[in-house]
Amino acid sequence: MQLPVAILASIETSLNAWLALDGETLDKFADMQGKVICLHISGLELDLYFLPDKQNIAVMGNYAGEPDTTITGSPMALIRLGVAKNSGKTLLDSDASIAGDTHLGAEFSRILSEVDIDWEELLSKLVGDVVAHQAGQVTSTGFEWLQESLEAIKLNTSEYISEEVKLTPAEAEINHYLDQVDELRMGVDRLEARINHYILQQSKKDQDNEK
Amino acid sequence: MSNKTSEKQSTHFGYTQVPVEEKASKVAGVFHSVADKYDVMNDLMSAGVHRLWKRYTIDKSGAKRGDTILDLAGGTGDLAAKFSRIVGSEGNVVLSDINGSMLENGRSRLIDMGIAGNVEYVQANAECLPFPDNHFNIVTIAFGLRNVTDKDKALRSILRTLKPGGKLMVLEFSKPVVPGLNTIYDQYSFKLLPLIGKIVANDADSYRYLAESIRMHPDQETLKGMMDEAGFERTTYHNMTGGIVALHIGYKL
Repeated sequence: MQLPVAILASIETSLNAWLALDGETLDKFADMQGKVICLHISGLELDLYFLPDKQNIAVMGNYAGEPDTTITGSPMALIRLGVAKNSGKTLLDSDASIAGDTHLGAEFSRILSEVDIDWEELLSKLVGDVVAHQAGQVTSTGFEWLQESLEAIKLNTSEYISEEVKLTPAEAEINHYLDQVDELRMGVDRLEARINHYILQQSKKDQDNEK
Repeated sequence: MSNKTSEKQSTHFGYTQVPVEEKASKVAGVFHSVADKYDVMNDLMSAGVHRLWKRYTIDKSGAKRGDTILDLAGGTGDLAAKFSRIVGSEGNVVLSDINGSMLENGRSRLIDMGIAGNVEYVQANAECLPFPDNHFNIVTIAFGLRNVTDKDKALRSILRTLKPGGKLMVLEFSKPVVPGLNTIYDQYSFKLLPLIGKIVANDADSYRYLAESIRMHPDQETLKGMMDEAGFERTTYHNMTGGIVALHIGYKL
């Protein structure tokens, strides 16, 4: 499957806008200049090629050569890899895999999962530096406190709910569940193919009988 | 080579007929005039869609690390910039244009983008390319062929410089194939386009020429036939935006 160029363009624009928000991320890609990273999404059989340099990342749907590294995974596995705090651990836990230059692949996904958006900077583009700085000063103290409190509440609550009263599953269980969903989806795909094959054979037999 | 000048042959320059030897200088005049505003105008004229047409061309190019690519009539270097990243330090991209102002703009733009090392700039006429035989893996000419005086000669010249197995990609305005689109497109090209040209670049005439030259350019099948005639093999074309633009591809085998 190949994505239309309009979608590829929109992925490239969004990705670069997102990276540009975090002033330091693109510098981290400087060493990857000239490298081609392929993201193969299994199930959809979709390939995306990333060509990073320190200014932006080019996204392509086609590359005739051999990519330096290929990150393969189901959509679920790749989403988990993208948002994971510890991408190395997640990679081992999930069914995602890296072929070719594994260091390059792991580094690429690690940088992407670490992107930290600077909201003050984003706001400054809209209302100008001064107002944004003042707004940032006023809100950052309150925001930090609020964020810390929320994080603490979230952690305590999630631990209480998952570990103490076992109302929700723990992270490992979620990962296991997601793997099972992937497996089931692939199983259904195989079953569908088998049924289609059977129907085709049956209709051929019926046609032969009619003759 | 026949001496066309002495025969007083004429060719089209938009809708007007001019002596063959004058077309190149007249086209040069248009592009000297629009060079500084070319990028803005392209975005305005196509509502940004020209980026998608070019992206599609890159996607279909099959370019890879180490390739040698010629971007003819490369103008402000849109395609060359993308190819430069794909071919990497082992490859080489030649950005070429017959027009010095356009080439100068392209060069400055690429340098400003930090692109250097694997890009060369050559001012050249597509009809007599100053490159060795069997040299390039890919030659692209985007929105340039219609301005070339002798297109057949240019196609033969490109074929000579391509390596066996190499590919020519011609991205050019063509003939709309969607019913009803022609009328809207005509209104747009001959009324709105010169107006935008006048407001943005203060140059309605140049943009009127662009609209007229698009209409005078061979349609999809004719261009495909010209490529076959020049010696290209497995020629195909793909219509985009209802045939307003077509991408022709041919191979040297």
